[in-house]
Amino acid sequence: MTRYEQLAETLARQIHSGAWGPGTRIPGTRELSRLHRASITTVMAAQRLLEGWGLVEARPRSGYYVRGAALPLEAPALPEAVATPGAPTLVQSQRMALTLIQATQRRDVLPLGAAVPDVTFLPVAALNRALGAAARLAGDRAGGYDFPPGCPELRGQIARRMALAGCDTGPEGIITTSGAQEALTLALRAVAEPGDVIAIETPTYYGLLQVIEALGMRALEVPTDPLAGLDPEALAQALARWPIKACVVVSNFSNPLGCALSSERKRALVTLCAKAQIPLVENDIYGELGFADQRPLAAKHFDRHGNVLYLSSFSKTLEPGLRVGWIAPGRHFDRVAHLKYVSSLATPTVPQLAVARYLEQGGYERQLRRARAAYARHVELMSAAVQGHFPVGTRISRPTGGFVIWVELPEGADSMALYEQALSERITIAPGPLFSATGRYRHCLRLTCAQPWGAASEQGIATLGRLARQQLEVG
Amino acid sequence: MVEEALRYEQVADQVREQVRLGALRPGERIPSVRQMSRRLGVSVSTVVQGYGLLLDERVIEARPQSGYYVQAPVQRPAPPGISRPQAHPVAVTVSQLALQVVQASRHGARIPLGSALPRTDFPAVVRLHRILASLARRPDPRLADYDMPPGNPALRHQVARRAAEAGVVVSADEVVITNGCVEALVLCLRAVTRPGDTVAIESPAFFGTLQSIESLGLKALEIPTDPRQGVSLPALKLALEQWPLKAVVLSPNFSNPLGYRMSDRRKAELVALLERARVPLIEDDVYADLNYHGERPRAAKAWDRTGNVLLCSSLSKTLDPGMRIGWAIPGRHTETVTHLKMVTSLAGPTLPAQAAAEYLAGSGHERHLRSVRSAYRERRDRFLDLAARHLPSGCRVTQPEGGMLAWVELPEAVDSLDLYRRALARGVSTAPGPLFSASGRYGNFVRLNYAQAEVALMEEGLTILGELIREGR
Ligand SMILES: Cc1ncc(COP(=O)(O)O)c(C=O)c1O
Ligand SMILES: Cc1ncc(COP(=O)(O)O)c(C=O)c1O
Repeated sequence: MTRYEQLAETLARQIHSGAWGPGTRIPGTRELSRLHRASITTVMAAQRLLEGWGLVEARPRSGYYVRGAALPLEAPALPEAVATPGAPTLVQSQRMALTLIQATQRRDVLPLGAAVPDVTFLPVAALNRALGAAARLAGDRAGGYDFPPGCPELRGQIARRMALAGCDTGPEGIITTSGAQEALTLALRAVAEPGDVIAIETPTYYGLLQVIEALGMRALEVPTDPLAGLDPEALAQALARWPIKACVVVSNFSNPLGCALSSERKRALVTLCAKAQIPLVENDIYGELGFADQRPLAAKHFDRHGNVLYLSSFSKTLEPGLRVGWIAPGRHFDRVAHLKYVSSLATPTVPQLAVARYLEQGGYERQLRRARAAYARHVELMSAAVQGHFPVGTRISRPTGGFVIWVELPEGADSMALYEQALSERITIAPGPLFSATGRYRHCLRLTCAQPWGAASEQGIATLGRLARQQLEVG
Repeated sequence: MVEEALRYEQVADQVREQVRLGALRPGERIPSVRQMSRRLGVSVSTVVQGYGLLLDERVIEARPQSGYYVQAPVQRPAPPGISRPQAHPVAVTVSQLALQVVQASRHGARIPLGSALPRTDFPAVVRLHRILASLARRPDPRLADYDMPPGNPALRHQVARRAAEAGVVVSADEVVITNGCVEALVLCLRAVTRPGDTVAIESPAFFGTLQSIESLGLKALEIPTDPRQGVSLPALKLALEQWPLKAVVLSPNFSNPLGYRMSDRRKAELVALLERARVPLIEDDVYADLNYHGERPRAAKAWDRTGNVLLCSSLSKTLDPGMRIGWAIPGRHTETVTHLKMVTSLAGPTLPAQAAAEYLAGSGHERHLRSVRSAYRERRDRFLDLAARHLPSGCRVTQPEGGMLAWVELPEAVDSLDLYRRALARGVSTAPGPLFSASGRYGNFVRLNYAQAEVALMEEGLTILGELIREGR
């Protein structure tokens, strides 16, 4: 970590511990420079970082002030839970997701659509040093295929991360993949066939819906509570009624609701799936991004039969462009390793070595603490702005981790139209129907909060609010 | 240009034919360049080119200040005959052995002859990694973000530019970047088939492709294939009439394991045949840059007028497989393949793609290819000589004109799976024949890699194999 990052982190900790209350001025540049024995440029860089994290705001000719408490007086209403499960359906028309994601890659938009953190929240400099070092190992270690299960150094480090989630899988139970997306594809191909029914949360990550669609499987949406997550009771009922072949769940800080299953729910879910003899695919990609200090357990912690296929990646915590993810497929290990081999032979070597190196060096915990604090803060800021600018009757999710919020507009609003209108104002959002196999959530949208907060963000939310109100007035 | 090419081939043909018929015997002097030029009515430089080909093939040798002579007989083993696979589609049953085999080649074996790994000790590989390392110092936020399909525009541009060398004229918009050639093949297969469908494939075929076919729930129809000419077109035609084929998967240039190269005429015929039948051709072109003679061969896609050919390739065999830089040029299936890429693995790694783009934009790749080609050609010659010396008579060996792999037919009684285990116990990895068939054929064949191990190790490996084969009879 560079000097200015260290300084920013120290100051952030002081702000979070209440050293300076909301609205008060933090010490000026010269004073900080003297107090911390840092150069003026270092202090200024640290201040900009704090501003980017949304902790302070600059007032011209005056200095930096701790931002006001963003928590609204009254918590916004929660989105409604889907109460009635539908029948299994073929997922269709997920193609717009590609267009959407391509649009969020444009540099000239306010990207609130894709669940990708802005680089200011990522440890890019340290990772790049690790990448450079890995690439210089050219010869035999960095060249050549790294056939499944993949890079041994990295699997060792991943096993240690999994131990923190209560999983004693060990390196020998882990297969590295090109991100969590490939892991999801492999998991479903390993345990189900075209035509099979997969039980999922709703709303759910659209990438999962796309996998199900592309493999010709059918999705069954199981009622999901915006705070408590997937309901094991509801899953039990669905199991009695439909020939379900597997269940897929984001156990911690789901996308888009941001809720985590309690330990009791996790245990119940694992037990239920074991009893019904269907594999549970656990996607824990946000597991290390909880707002509380304690990292929650994985559902796999409760797995006694190798029935849980646990998967995750470093896309949300380190860098999405690395494409480094993994799967711990329990008793489906051989099948998954084989499928990985026949679908892409190997995962690129250098990025795997780089992540292994980065994790070895030991700055990851600090990085996570910093990111978690920043995301908690930015979710608050974004929620407050939405509450301030969106039409009366708007409901907002209350995530306990991750960095997205789910916004439910009053009935009659159309998020697909809103997507188009917002895009012409250079703002991207993720419209609700993407998150459903059955075209639900026309009046919902997902917003990413992992963007440096500033006037442009506030302005962007105001614009979205105006567009939504106009829709409702016309409608 | 084409005519000129044909003429020097004619020169070579004539000498080859005379040698074959015994009209020219080993040790005899062949006509001088001038004599030959007069006799055939072609230019001196054409004869020089033709003789160059024969020198490469070791049909003739040059003696300083004296002229060209028919080379003394290196009693090289004859190539195997045309394959006779199962005549109906079968569910592929190749076991999980393949992964074991490749892992053994990488980690377990002292003498790795069993993989299809290239040598990675060329300076160009270091150069590529240096570019990657220097990119890691460049402060560009895009290098951390997802590189969404179809993938890095600069890399797609380089792929399109290089495709012209294969006679394939496309724009960058028709290229999709993938995680190696295997992912490209799988995405293309998924784009044009549904589980339960039947696809035709050369036989023997790369086991990775066979297993991808198996994993997608497809059935494989194996088409008889000649070790020199490639897949039999009459047999393919018959298959098209008899079976509801949904795709044909072939490597027209230096296939794995046979190493054959289809002639331009046969490629054109193949493409026309499949176009008429409205069956897409999935072309694996991953070894095509490794030709030992003349120009880089053209891809079958060069004759594609309707977007019916889906071309797949990568930098794995020419540069560095660990980089996982591959691509598909899927013709009229481009949109579907792009979508499937996103669904399957979201994106490719960002930094390696940019590094590959900048590497290819530089001027060194052609020079690198020239040195790989001549290194591998030399290795092939050493290998064939060593094989002739150490393998028992009755073994038949292909004589590839490109790539890095040889296909060896052992005496009937030898079981290559058994040989695989016994050789591995002595530190030598091989790729046993049954891996290359959907129906368990080729029990007495092995594939050997002659590029990867040092020559001394290769000799030791062949000595050990020779002993084991003699024991196994
Ligand atoms: C729940 C969930 N799973 C998987 C992914 C894909 O992650 P990766 O980049 O590791 O493929 C995402 C990214 O948006 C996600 O939100
Ligand atoms: C015919 C053939 N195609 C494709 C591949 C794999 O290519 P890639 O590493 O680009 O996935 C191989 C490697 O063994 C091969 O022999």
